[in-house]
Amino acid sequence: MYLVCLQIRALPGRRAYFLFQAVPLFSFSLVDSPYTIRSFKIRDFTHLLPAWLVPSWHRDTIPRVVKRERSRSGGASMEKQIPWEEKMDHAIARAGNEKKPILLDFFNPG
Amino acid sequence: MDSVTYPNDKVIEFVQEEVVPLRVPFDAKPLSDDFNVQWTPTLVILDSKGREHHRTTGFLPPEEFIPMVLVGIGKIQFDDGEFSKAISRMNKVLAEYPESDSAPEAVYYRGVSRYKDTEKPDPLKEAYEILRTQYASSPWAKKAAPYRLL
Repeated sequence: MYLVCLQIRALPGRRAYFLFQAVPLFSFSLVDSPYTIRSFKIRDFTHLLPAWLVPSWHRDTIPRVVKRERSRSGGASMEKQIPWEEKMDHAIARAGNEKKPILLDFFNPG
Repeated sequence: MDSVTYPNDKVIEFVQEEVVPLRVPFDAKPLSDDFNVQWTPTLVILDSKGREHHRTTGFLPPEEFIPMVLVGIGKIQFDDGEFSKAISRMNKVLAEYPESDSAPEAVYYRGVSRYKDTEKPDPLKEAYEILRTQYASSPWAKKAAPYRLL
Protein backbone atom coordinates (compact mmCIF):
# COMPACT_ATOMS: atom_id res chain seq x y z
CA MET A 1 0.00 0.00 0.00
CA TYR A 2 2.41 2.67 -1.17
CA LEU A 3 2.49 5.66 -3.43
CA VAL A 4 6.13 6.38 -4.04
CA CYS A 5 7.21 9.68 -5.53
CA LEU A 6 10.83 10.04 -6.59
CA GLN A 7 12.00 13.51 -7.55
CA ILE A 8 15.40 13.49 -9.16
CA ARG A 9 17.39 16.44 -10.48
CA ALA A 10 18.77 15.02 -13.66
CA LEU A 11 20.16 18.29 -15.02
CA PRO A 12 20.83 21.65 -13.35
CA GLY A 13 17.53 23.52 -13.02
CA ARG A 14 15.49 20.58 -14.19
CA ARG A 15 13.84 17.92 -12.21
CA ALA A 16 12.33 14.64 -13.17
CA TYR A 17 9.52 13.02 -11.26
CA PHE A 18 8.87 9.36 -11.05
CA LEU A 19 5.70 8.00 -9.56
CA PHE A 20 5.35 4.42 -8.57
CA GLN A 21 1.90 3.59 -7.38
CA ALA A 22 1.06 0.41 -5.62
CA VAL A 23 -1.62 1.26 -3.09
CA PRO A 24 -1.83 4.80 -1.70
CA LEU A 25 -0.92 4.49 1.93
CA PHE A 26 2.30 6.48 2.08
CA SER A 27 4.22 8.74 -0.22
CA PHE A 28 7.98 8.77 -0.12
CA SER A 29 9.46 11.86 -1.70
CA LEU A 30 13.12 12.04 -2.50
CA VAL A 31 13.99 15.69 -3.03
CA ASP A 32 17.00 17.42 -4.60
CA SER A 33 18.71 14.30 -5.53
CA PRO A 34 20.72 14.11 -8.70
CA TYR A 35 22.00 10.82 -7.53
CA THR A 36 22.19 11.24 -3.79
CA ILE A 37 19.32 11.60 -1.33
CA ARG A 38 19.39 14.96 0.48
CA SER A 39 15.97 14.83 2.11
CA PHE A 40 13.35 12.22 2.65
CA LYS A 41 9.67 12.85 3.32
CA ILE A 42 6.82 10.51 4.14
CA ARG A 43 3.34 11.69 3.35
CA ASP A 44 0.33 9.94 4.82
CA PHE A 45 -2.76 9.44 2.66
CA THR A 46 -4.58 7.03 4.91
CA HIS A 47 -7.16 9.61 5.93
CA LEU A 48 -8.45 9.44 2.36
CA LEU A 49 -9.11 5.71 2.64
CA PRO A 50 -12.12 3.95 4.17
CA ALA A 51 -11.37 2.82 7.69
CA TRP A 52 -11.46 -0.88 6.83
CA LEU A 53 -8.58 -0.43 4.39
CA VAL A 54 -6.32 1.06 7.02
CA PRO A 55 -4.30 -1.42 9.08
CA SER A 56 -5.24 -1.38 12.74
CA TRP A 57 -1.69 -0.50 13.76
CA HIS A 58 -1.91 2.65 11.66
CA ARG A 59 -5.35 3.95 12.70
CA ASP A 60 -4.03 5.98 15.60
CA THR A 61 -1.96 8.03 13.19
CA ILE A 62 -5.00 9.32 11.25
CA PRO A 63 -5.18 13.06 11.85
CA ARG A 64 -7.52 14.02 14.67
CA VAL A 65 -9.36 16.50 12.48
CA VAL A 66 -10.28 13.74 10.06
CA LYS A 67 -11.47 11.54 12.91
CA ARG A 68 -13.60 14.38 14.23
CA GLU A 69 -15.17 15.01 10.82
CA ARG A 70 -15.92 11.30 10.42
CA SER A 71 -17.52 11.30 13.85
CA ARG A 72 -19.68 14.32 13.01
CA SER A 73 -20.93 12.68 9.86
CA GLY A 74 -22.01 9.59 11.76
CA GLY A 75 -18.90 7.61 10.95
CA ALA A 76 -19.63 7.25 7.27
CA SER A 77 -16.78 5.86 5.29
CA MET A 78 -15.59 7.73 2.24
CA GLU A 79 -17.07 5.25 -0.20
CA LYS A 80 -20.58 5.03 1.32
CA GLN A 81 -22.80 7.63 -0.26
CA ILE A 82 -26.42 8.06 -1.23
CA PRO A 83 -26.73 6.91 -4.87
CA TRP A 84 -28.51 10.00 -6.19
CA GLU A 85 -30.28 9.95 -9.50
CA GLU A 86 -29.89 13.17 -11.48
CA LYS A 87 -32.73 12.88 -14.01
CA MET A 88 -36.42 12.78 -13.20
CA ASP A 89 -37.24 10.28 -15.94
CA HIS A 90 -34.54 7.90 -14.66
CA ALA A 91 -35.88 8.24 -11.12
CA ILE A 92 -39.46 7.57 -12.22
CA ALA A 93 -38.40 4.53 -14.22
CA ARG A 94 -36.45 3.20 -11.26
CA ALA A 95 -39.27 3.98 -8.83
CA GLY A 96 -41.69 2.05 -11.04
CA ASN A 97 -39.41 -0.94 -11.24
CA GLU A 98 -38.52 -0.98 -7.55
CA LYS A 99 -42.02 0.07 -6.39
CA LYS A 100 -40.57 2.85 -4.25
CA PRO A 101 -41.41 6.51 -3.78
CA ILE A 102 -39.00 9.24 -4.85
CA LEU A 103 -37.13 11.58 -2.57
CA LEU A 104 -36.53 14.74 -4.61
CA ASP A 105 -33.92 17.10 -3.18
CA PHE A 106 -33.59 20.58 -4.67
CA PHE A 107 -30.16 21.70 -3.54
CA ASN A 108 -27.88 24.67 -4.00
CA PRO A 109 -24.70 23.48 -5.73
CA GLY A 110 -22.99 26.77 -5.00
CA MET B 1 -27.40 18.36 4.58
CA ASP B 2 -24.23 17.37 2.73
CA SER B 3 -22.00 17.65 5.78
CA VAL B 4 -24.27 16.21 8.46
CA THR B 5 -27.36 14.36 7.26
CA TYR B 6 -26.48 12.69 3.98
CA PRO B 7 -23.14 11.21 5.12
CA ASN B 8 -24.84 9.61 8.15
CA ASP B 9 -24.72 5.82 7.93
CA LYS B 10 -28.29 5.37 9.14
CA VAL B 11 -29.57 7.91 6.61
CA ILE B 12 -27.66 6.25 3.77
CA GLU B 13 -29.05 2.84 4.68
CA PHE B 14 -32.57 4.21 5.08
CA VAL B 15 -32.54 6.04 1.75
CA GLN B 16 -31.19 3.01 -0.10
CA GLU B 17 -33.92 0.79 1.33
CA GLU B 18 -36.95 3.05 1.23
CA VAL B 19 -36.78 5.55 -1.64
CA VAL B 20 -35.28 6.39 -5.00
CA PRO B 21 -33.12 9.45 -4.28
CA LEU B 22 -33.18 12.19 -6.91
CA ARG B 23 -31.14 15.35 -6.61
CA VAL B 24 -31.29 18.40 -8.86
CA PRO B 25 -30.02 21.98 -8.54
CA PHE B 26 -32.65 24.41 -7.28
CA ASP B 27 -32.56 26.31 -10.58
CA ALA B 28 -32.84 23.29 -12.86
CA LYS B 29 -35.57 23.96 -15.39
CA PRO B 30 -38.32 22.92 -15.79
CA LEU B 31 -38.38 20.99 -12.49
CA SER B 32 -37.82 24.02 -10.27
CA ASP B 33 -40.76 25.75 -11.95
CA ASP B 34 -42.94 22.65 -11.89
CA PHE B 35 -42.41 22.31 -8.13
CA ASN B 36 -42.25 26.07 -7.46
CA VAL B 37 -38.96 25.88 -5.59
CA GLN B 38 -37.88 29.16 -4.01
CA TRP B 39 -35.46 28.04 -1.31
CA THR B 40 -33.05 25.23 -0.49
CA PRO B 41 -32.96 22.57 0.65
CA THR B 42 -36.45 21.71 -0.53
CA LEU B 43 -37.25 18.03 -0.07
CA VAL B 44 -40.26 16.61 -1.88
CA ILE B 45 -41.69 13.12 -1.53
CA LEU B 46 -43.16 11.86 -4.80
CA ASP B 47 -44.96 8.68 -5.67
CA SER B 48 -43.58 6.39 -8.35
CA LYS B 49 -45.41 8.41 -11.01
CA GLY B 50 -43.79 11.67 -9.95
CA ARG B 51 -46.77 13.20 -8.11
CA GLU B 52 -46.01 15.26 -5.01
CA HIS B 53 -47.43 14.14 -1.64
CA HIS B 54 -45.22 15.81 0.96
CA ARG B 55 -42.53 18.50 1.17
CA THR B 56 -40.31 20.34 3.61
CA THR B 57 -37.97 23.28 3.28
CA GLY B 58 -34.84 23.83 5.35
CA PHE B 59 -32.16 21.75 7.01
CA LEU B 60 -33.10 18.51 8.74
CA PRO B 61 -30.72 16.55 10.96
CA PRO B 62 -30.75 12.75 10.60
CA GLU B 63 -33.17 12.26 13.52
CA GLU B 64 -35.68 14.54 11.76
CA PHE B 65 -34.92 13.59 8.16
CA ILE B 66 -35.85 9.91 8.51
CA PRO B 67 -39.25 10.42 10.20
CA MET B 68 -40.06 13.19 7.69
CA VAL B 69 -39.52 10.76 4.81
CA LEU B 70 -41.47 8.04 6.63
CA VAL B 71 -44.43 10.38 7.06
CA GLY B 72 -44.16 11.33 3.39
CA ILE B 73 -44.28 7.67 2.37
CA GLY B 74 -47.23 7.15 4.70
CA LYS B 75 -49.05 10.06 3.07
CA ILE B 76 -48.53 8.49 -0.35
CA GLN B 77 -50.15 5.30 0.97
CA PHE B 78 -52.94 7.32 2.60
CA ASP B 79 -53.61 9.22 -0.63
CA ASP B 80 -53.68 5.92 -2.53
CA GLY B 81 -56.26 4.51 -0.11
CA GLU B 82 -53.83 1.98 1.37
CA PHE B 83 -54.85 2.84 4.91
CA SER B 84 -53.43 -0.20 6.70
CA LYS B 85 -50.01 0.47 5.15
CA ALA B 86 -50.26 4.13 6.10
CA ILE B 87 -51.11 3.17 9.69
CA SER B 88 -48.13 0.85 9.81
CA ARG B 89 -45.83 3.59 8.49
CA MET B 90 -47.09 6.15 11.01
CA ASN B 91 -46.73 3.60 13.81
CA LYS B 92 -43.10 3.20 12.82
CA VAL B 93 -42.55 6.95 13.11
CA LEU B 94 -44.16 7.02 16.55
CA ALA B 95 -42.30 3.96 17.79
CA GLU B 96 -38.84 4.99 16.58
CA TYR B 97 -39.01 8.80 16.52
CA PRO B 98 -41.64 9.88 19.08
CA GLU B 99 -39.71 13.06 19.87
CA SER B 100 -39.33 14.19 16.28
CA ASP B 101 -41.16 17.12 14.74
CA SER B 102 -42.91 14.68 12.40
CA ALA B 103 -44.47 12.71 15.26
CA PRO B 104 -47.59 14.91 15.70
CA GLU B 105 -48.33 14.69 11.98
CA ALA B 106 -47.92 10.90 12.23
CA VAL B 107 -50.45 10.81 15.10
CA TYR B 108 -52.89 12.85 13.02
CA TYR B 109 -52.57 10.76 9.86
CA ARG B 110 -52.64 7.50 11.81
CA GLY B 111 -55.95 8.57 13.35
CA VAL B 112 -57.38 9.65 10.02
CA SER B 113 -56.20 6.44 8.34
CA ARG B 114 -57.79 4.34 11.07
CA TYR B 115 -61.02 6.26 10.65
CA LYS B 116 -60.98 5.75 6.90
CA ASP B 117 -60.15 2.07 7.41
CA THR B 118 -62.86 1.36 10.01
CA GLU B 119 -65.34 4.19 9.36
CA LYS B 120 -65.62 4.64 13.11
CA PRO B 121 -64.89 7.99 14.80
CA ASP B 122 -63.02 6.61 17.82
CA PRO B 123 -59.56 6.78 16.18
CA LEU B 124 -60.08 10.47 15.47
CA LYS B 125 -60.94 11.20 19.10
CA GLU B 126 -57.98 9.10 20.22
CA ALA B 127 -55.67 11.05 17.88
CA TYR B 128 -56.93 14.33 19.31
CA GLU B 129 -56.37 13.14 22.88
CA ILE B 130 -52.80 12.06 22.10
CA LEU B 131 -52.08 15.35 20.37
CA ARG B 132 -53.64 17.34 23.20
CA THR B 133 -51.71 15.55 25.92
CA GLN B 134 -48.37 14.79 24.25
CA TYR B 135 -47.99 17.35 21.47
CA ALA B 136 -50.11 20.24 22.74
CA SER B 137 -47.97 22.94 21.12
CA SER B 138 -48.10 21.29 17.71
CA PRO B 139 -50.30 22.78 14.98
CA TRP B 140 -51.62 19.26 14.44
CA ALA B 141 -53.27 19.46 17.86
CA LYS B 142 -55.25 22.46 16.62
CA LYS B 143 -56.13 20.70 13.37
CA ALA B 144 -57.49 17.75 15.34
CA ALA B 145 -59.43 19.92 17.81
CA PRO B 146 -62.83 19.42 16.09
CA TYR B 147 -62.52 15.65 16.69
CA ARG B 148 -63.12 16.19 20.41
CA LEU B 149 -66.76 16.81 19.54
CA LEU B 150 -67.24 13.42 17.92
